[in-house]
Formats: sequence, C-alpha cells, structure tokens
Amino acid sequence: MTAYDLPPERLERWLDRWAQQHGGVARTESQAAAVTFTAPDGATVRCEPPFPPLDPASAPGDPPFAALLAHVRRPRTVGVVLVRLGGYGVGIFEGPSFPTVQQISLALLGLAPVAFVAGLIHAQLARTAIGDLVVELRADPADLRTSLARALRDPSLKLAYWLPQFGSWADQDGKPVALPIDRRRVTPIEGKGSHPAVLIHHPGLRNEPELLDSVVAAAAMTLETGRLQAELRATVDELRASRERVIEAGQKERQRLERDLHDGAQQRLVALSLSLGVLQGKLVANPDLTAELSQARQQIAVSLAELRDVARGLHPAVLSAHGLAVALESLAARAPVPVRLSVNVNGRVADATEVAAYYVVCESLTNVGKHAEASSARVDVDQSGGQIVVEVVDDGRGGADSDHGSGLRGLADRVEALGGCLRVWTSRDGTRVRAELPCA
Amino acid sequence: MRVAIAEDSVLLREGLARLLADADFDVVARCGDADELRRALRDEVPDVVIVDIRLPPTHTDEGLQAALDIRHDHPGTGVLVLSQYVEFGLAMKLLGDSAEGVGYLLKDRVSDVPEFLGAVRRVAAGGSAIDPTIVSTLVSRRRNDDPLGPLTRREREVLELMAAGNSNQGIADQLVITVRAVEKYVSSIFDKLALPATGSESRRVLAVLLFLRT
Repeated sequence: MTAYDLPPERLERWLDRWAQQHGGVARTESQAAAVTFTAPDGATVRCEPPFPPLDPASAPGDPPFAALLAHVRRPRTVGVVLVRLGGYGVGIFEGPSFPTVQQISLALLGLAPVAFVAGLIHAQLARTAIGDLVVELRADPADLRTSLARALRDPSLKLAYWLPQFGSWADQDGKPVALPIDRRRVTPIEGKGSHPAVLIHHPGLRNEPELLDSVVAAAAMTLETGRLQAELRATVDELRASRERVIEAGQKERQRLERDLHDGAQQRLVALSLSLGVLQGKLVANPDLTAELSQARQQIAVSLAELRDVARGLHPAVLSAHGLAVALESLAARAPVPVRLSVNVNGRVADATEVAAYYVVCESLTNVGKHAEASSARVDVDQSGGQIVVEVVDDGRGGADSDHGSGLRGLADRVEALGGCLRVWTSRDGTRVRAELPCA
Repeated sequence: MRVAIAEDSVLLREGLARLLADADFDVVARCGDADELRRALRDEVPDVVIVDIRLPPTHTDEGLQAALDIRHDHPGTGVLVLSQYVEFGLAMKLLGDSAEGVGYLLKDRVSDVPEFLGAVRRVAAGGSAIDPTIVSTLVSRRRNDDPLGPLTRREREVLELMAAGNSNQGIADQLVITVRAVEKYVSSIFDKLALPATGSESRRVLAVLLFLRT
C-alpha cells in the first residue's frame, strides 16, 4: 500500500489531476513512495510519506498539499513550504531508499534558493502586470482589450461582450465575434452587470490560472464601461448602415422616378409636340391656326423644360449613364462662374460614391452662385489610396457653414453615410469644400 | 437622302419616320435599339443616322456608344444624337476632335419641323448641329474678366448661332442680314477672341465651344 492507502495507479491519476488543476505537474516515484510536484513557475517540491491523512475526493487541504497550494497561490511562501517539506522528508522516512531520498531532499534544499528567486521574479512580473493593469483600468482605458492582452502577454486576446439587443457577442468596437469551440480558450468574466462577457485567449493561459484569475478579477471592475462602449459602437455602426440604406433607397427611388418621367410624360410630350409640328406644316395656308399651333408647341416646350429640371433634380441621369467625368464637365459648364475642372478617376466607381461626389460638386457650385460673390472656382476630383477626394474651392467672400446651410448638412449626411468625411473651410478669401469618399 | 432611325419609343420613332418620309427622305431603317442599328448599317450605309442617346437594354450609354462607333466606322455618315437633356460633357465626348457630320439636339427640336429637317440635312452633308442651349449656358456665365466682353450684342448673337453649327447663310437667314454682313461679324469675332480663323463651318463650332469652356 502507498500513501493514503490508495492503489498506486489511482493515486497517480488523482495527483495528476490535482496538479493539472493547479497548473503544475505531479510525478510519482515507484509505487507512489514519493511525489514530485512542479509548480507553474518551475519550482519543484518533493513529498514523501508519511503523507498526512487526506480525502482524495476533495481538494487537498493538509500540510504538504496545502503548502503546495500556497506555493501556487502565493509564490512568496515557497521558501517556507520547502523548509516544512524538508522537515517532513528528512529523518522521518525510514527504509532502504532513505539515503537516496535524503540526498535528493538535501539537493532540493540546496536548489531552493534558486527556485525561490525564480519564483519571486516570475511572481514579481505577474504582479507588476496586474498592478499596471489595475492602474490602467482605474485611469479608464480607452482600450480594455489591449490592457488585458498586455497583462496576460497574449496579443491574440479578444474580449467579447454579450449584447442582448443584438443577440450576439461583440468586441469592443461593436463588431460581431464568434466564440471558439475550444472551451479552454474561453474564460468568463463575472461583472456587476447582468450580461456576460468572456475573454478569448490562448489555451496555454490555462496553465497560469492565478494570472488569469487576477486579470479576470481586474477586468470585471471596468466591464460595464467596456460593454457600454461596445454597445454604443455597435449602435453607431447599425445607425450608419441604416443611414446608408435609407439614402440608397431614396436614391434608387429617385432614379426610378426619373426613368418613369423620361419614358412616360417626357416622351409623350415630345411625340405630341412633333404631331403638332407636322400638323402646323400642313396648315401653312391658314395663318390663324398656324399661330395657335405654334403657341401650343411653345407651351409644350415650357412644360418639357420644367420636367427636365424636375428630372435632373431627381437624379442626374448623365451621371449613371456616363460617369463622373462627363457629368462634372456638364455641371461645370452650367455653373454660374467659370470653373477649372480636373477629374482623375479610373473608370467607374460605386454608384453611391459617384452620386455623393456629384452632389458635393453640384451643391458647392450652387452655393458659389448664391452666396459667395465669387468670380471663379476650381473643382478637383482625385482617386488615390482607396478613396476619392473631391475639392471645390472658390474665390468669393466665404460664409458657407455646414451647420446652417441645409444643403451642406445634407451633403455631410450623404458623405458620412458612406464612411467618408466632409469638411468646409471658409474665410474672407473664399470657401473650400473637401469630401473624402472611400471607394473600394 | 437615306436616313436610319434608332429610337425605342415607338410613338416617336414612327412620328420621326413619317416626318422624314413626308420631306422626301428615304427612311432605310427603323430600329428599337443600338444592335439593330448596327445590323442595319451592315446592309446599307445611310447618309445620316438619327440616334436616341438612351436606348435599351440598360438605357444608359448604348445610344452614345453606337453614335461614337458609327462616327468611327463610317466617317461619311452623319450622326445626329437626340436626347431629353443636353449635357456639355456629352457634347464634348461626342464631338471628340471634330464637329464634322455630327449633331446633338434636344428631342423637343423635332417639333420645329423646318428647323429640324435643316439640321438633319446639314449633318448628313458633313456639317454640325449643336443644341443652342449648350452655347447659351456657357455664354450666360457671370465672370469678372469676361472674354466675351469686347463683343457687341450682334456679335454675340452671331457667335451663338455659329457655335450651334449654322452656316453663314443660315445665320444670315435667321438674323435677316446679308451673308456678307455675317462674314464681317465672324471675322471680327475671331479677331476679338484671338482665335485662329478656321475656314470650315464645322471646325469653328469646336473652336468656339473649346474657347467657351475655359
């Protein structure tokens, strides 16, 4: 019989499991005559009979194991542990192998200072990391994940919050996250709030439960802040996407209306006008009728001109049909002041981007005519580095303001919905409108 | 004079065909889309084609593309593009480096029958017909250093008619003045704007448009 009156294999299995639970390795010697335990920090402890009484089913709480546990939990006590274990080992055990055991024990005692120092350094590092983390968290870190990743020395670390209103896990930026199937990579964080959060980490961190526990405890303090941040960002993303959808749907609807006008009322009016023209040609002999027909044609022409303006206001057909360069050239020609135009865009880009760029130029040039008292303007459109930059500069007296001008505000909405940005500079020397639009 | 029509609105296509036939044009093809027009041109090359800028299937640039192709493949055939809207950018694209045998008019213009037939004949004969709204928009721009400042009112009128592709005779008829008088105005305009005299009536169209663009 061995220690605890257990068959050697069972004791071995039990000790193995226990050691693993505490992040270490247990090695039993022949017939479980002695147990060598290696703690996560590399410190080694050897236990010899007589082992204290112990219920193998429960967590060990008796002197050698409690001490081992203390070694795991509080590395500073390692020295004491060793001394006490030494006391157990030396002189009490009697038997044929005693001299060997004694030598090993003494050797272990000799090594103790090294293990002690190594344990101290490791513990110190871990404590420093935790300390830094706590300080960072107190200072309300902008990025909880980075702080946690640094403390755990796991750059791949992810922090995921359960967002009940989206029914999904999300990272601190509010982007959806899928939890790994490997449960060893997932550690829950118990915060004050009712909704869970988890750390997704390297499975190896399971071997440093103390570090993981401390980091999780520290993270729990600021969990709610992080969750609110994630929620906010997810909501912002959702809003941005919905704004983009709203603008796109509006654009599609306007495009459809323009098409309906073109194929319907406009075509019919042209055909009617043509018939009247033909009729007029056949009635040259009757000047009164001819004059009336001429008047009717004139009215149709006015209606057509009005419809054209409506159609153009609904959607610039020339843009979707012929692209930015042609559409902007036409805009520049219609502008109230001469415009120096330069367009460097490679072929066609996404509809929404083209439309936004077009409206930036259109609205800016309209403002030039309305308010700026400018004598000329410059329009530059450049595609580079995954974005289209639109710049409209005039030499007027300034005064454009995106908060007050509803046109500019609408433009900003349109540009921002695409993830771009619109800026307006205005001074007595003129106004500069710059839009940056992402284009894939 | 042989003419081919590409227009997807049946109402308008048949109206145009009747109008042209009544004016003794030989309507050799009536097409509903650009591909049909291209096929028709393989059988018989007309003196002039009349093309709607918006044709099936996508109603975007099919008409313009067909017009550009025909200008390239059949330089002897005049191309008159009709559209519900006229855009300066499209005019410049259509003209390219020559205004010879090319027209670009609002669809409304068909109702002024004599004027429209005149434009079709002019384009068929290698001249140009540019919608007057294009030029008038460019001319009406407000500017501090107006390059058109030195022009008299009469000269501006002549300039606009000239840029629309009218011949000296055409300008004379519209302004009810003599051709000799028109010639004098034209040469005075070219002097004042420091434009090199071009001689050809269609070449001066492009020269004026390019001048007004800047």
